[in-house]
Amino acid sequence: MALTNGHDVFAALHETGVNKFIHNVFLARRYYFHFAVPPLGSGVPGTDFAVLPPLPVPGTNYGLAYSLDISQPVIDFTPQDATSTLPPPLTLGPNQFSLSADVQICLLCGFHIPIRDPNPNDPRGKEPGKGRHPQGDDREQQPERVCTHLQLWAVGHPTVANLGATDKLIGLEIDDIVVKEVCALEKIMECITEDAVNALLEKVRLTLSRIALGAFPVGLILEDGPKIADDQLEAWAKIV
Amino acid sequence: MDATLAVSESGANHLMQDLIGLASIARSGSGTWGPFSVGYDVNIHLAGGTVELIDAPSNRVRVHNVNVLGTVATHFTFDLGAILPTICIPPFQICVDIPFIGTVCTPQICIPWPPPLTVSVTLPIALTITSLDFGILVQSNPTTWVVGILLFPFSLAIDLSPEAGAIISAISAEVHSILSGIPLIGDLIAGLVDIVLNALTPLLGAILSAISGFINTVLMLLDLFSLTVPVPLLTFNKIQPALPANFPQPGDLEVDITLAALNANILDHELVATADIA
Amino acid sequence: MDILNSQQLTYLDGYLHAFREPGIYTYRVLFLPRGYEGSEPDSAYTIEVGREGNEPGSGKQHDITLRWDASKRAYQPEPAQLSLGVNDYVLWHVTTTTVAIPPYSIRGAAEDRPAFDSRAMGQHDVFTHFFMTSGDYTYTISGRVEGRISVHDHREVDPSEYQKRTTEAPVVRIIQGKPEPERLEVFTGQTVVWVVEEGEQVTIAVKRATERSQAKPR
Repeated sequence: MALTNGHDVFAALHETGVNKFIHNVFLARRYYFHFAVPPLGSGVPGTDFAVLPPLPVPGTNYGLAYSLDISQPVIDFTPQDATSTLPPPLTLGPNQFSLSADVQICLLCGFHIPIRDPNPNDPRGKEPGKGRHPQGDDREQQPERVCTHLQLWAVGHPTVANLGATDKLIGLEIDDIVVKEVCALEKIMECITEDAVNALLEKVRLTLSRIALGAFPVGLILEDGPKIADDQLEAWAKIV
Repeated sequence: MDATLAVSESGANHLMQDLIGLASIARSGSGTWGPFSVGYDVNIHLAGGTVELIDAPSNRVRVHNVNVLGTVATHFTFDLGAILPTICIPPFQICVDIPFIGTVCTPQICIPWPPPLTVSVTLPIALTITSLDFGILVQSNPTTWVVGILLFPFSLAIDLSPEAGAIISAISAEVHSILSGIPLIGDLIAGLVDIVLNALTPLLGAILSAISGFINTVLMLLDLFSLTVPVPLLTFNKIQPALPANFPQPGDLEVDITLAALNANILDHELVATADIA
Repeated sequence: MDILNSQQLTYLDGYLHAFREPGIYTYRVLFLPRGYEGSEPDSAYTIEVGREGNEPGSGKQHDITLRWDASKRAYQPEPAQLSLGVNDYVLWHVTTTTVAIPPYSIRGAAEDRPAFDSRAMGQHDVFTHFFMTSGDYTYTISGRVEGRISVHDHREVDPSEYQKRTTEAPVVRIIQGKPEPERLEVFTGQTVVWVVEEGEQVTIAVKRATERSQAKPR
């Protein structure tokens, strides 16, 4: 069966190629995958990790430093790879991809970072200053870094955004996510991580021209796709 | 295989039309045959054609019915003095009686023929090459992969003999016009034109054959018709920027897709290129 | 346009001189401008005029044809020597296959005395011009009195009429520096004959020549 299926051009990126690309992004744009509140985070803030604001502790005028590190995501295009396992209720259907990654979350417990009280009318509210131990003890705790590992799986569909008549921006977007080992926080974590993963995926979209390996500098008119099938992200186009 | 690009026959036709659209050339040549020096300016270009992709192991791109179009402007330069006999006018002496002298007969003037004439005739070129076969090759250059096409030898018969009539007519008309300006030879003009044409006609076959051969030579100078240098059909930069440097924030490194290997074949009447990404 | 100048003879012209006295005449064929006599060719040619001859007005014509010899840079007359009777006359003219030859003049002497000169014609000298190009030619006799010749293109008239006209060579008589007739209409291919009936040191030179409008096809 002809790949082009009645069109001028068929362009496809295999999941192995996508994963190689993701690997290169993982190495070159570390701050897409690593987030931290200094002093957490290793390397140069803004380059090696994205800077987060402290996590406010309710009832206090200080926040805590925490970090979030996402491992290199692994993409699987339908049909599902034999080595890939998706937790229910996730399934990989036609025109879908799955994404899996590990997430490490760490907290620097005992390190208080002063923050402004967002409640200006609370008589107990304080100006940012030295943080106080909630039990009124002026002793400062020795900070302790505590971490936990999560696993996340997601399924989604291909997206296309307009770049004009002769090129398109093709990407991936997740529709459903499962985060494991967070017990009662599962729904909350899934909500947060779905947005975070989609934000990451939005940064790594490729143009149709790039998927066609730059062979048509004048441009291509997308006529069908993007579609995911046969372990590939596929598109069909007309040569300008 | 990390990426696949397939081009259908219609897509390949589009790419081939881009190459055909660039295929034009102009060259000039000349030669001397007897009293005739002939210059010829050839101007040709290609047009049309439809692509057929022939599967491996043949792996051929076949283009049907490519038109070779253009003109050859010919310039025939000849010296009437080298062809025509000496003619003196008037054909008979005119004599007048002049008192105190006698019967004076005025001199005859032997016509010095005009300087060499040049007659230009533009001949059309309109041929169709029914079938051109190209093989496909993948070349690795320092910064690019190129899927190129290389022509298999072919022959093209160019016959300009039907244009002989136009050349004869043009030269006949010009010589007639030049001779008409000379007084007293009106009755002789047709015969003088015939003398010129009788000098030309036996040479015309060789002249047109030489011009045909020249057109063939010029045609083979087209890049598309090189038998040794492939013409790029698809070009891939080995390093392709996927995420640009300094975006979305200053200091961001460029993220590339690097094509480490590339193959090309014709399968199911499609040109299929597969690449490995580094 | 034609060059019409009796002082600079071309292949379209003829110069005629009648020999009234017997004797040995020598002449040169000159082609350099005035003032360059020292550089003129040395060759002189002889015309022997015998005592026997004809009555004035009944002489015989003898033609001398001049051919340009590029290697010698000189005109070669044929015949180089001539014998004729008194009152006979010689017509010099050029035969050539190329127009790239210099204008010439004929200067003759008898016993070292000037006898005839095409550049300054004497009585009974004749100048002929074959008109090759149509146009309106206004000429002067010795720089003074004007004459006019309208030359029509041979293609303006039908062939039979043209053939009739070309059997005629109109004659212009120069009498004391005036041309008679003053105006003439001819066709290309016709020769006009100027005769110095009375006068000396006569020249005929075009003052103004203008093209006529394009010949209309018959």
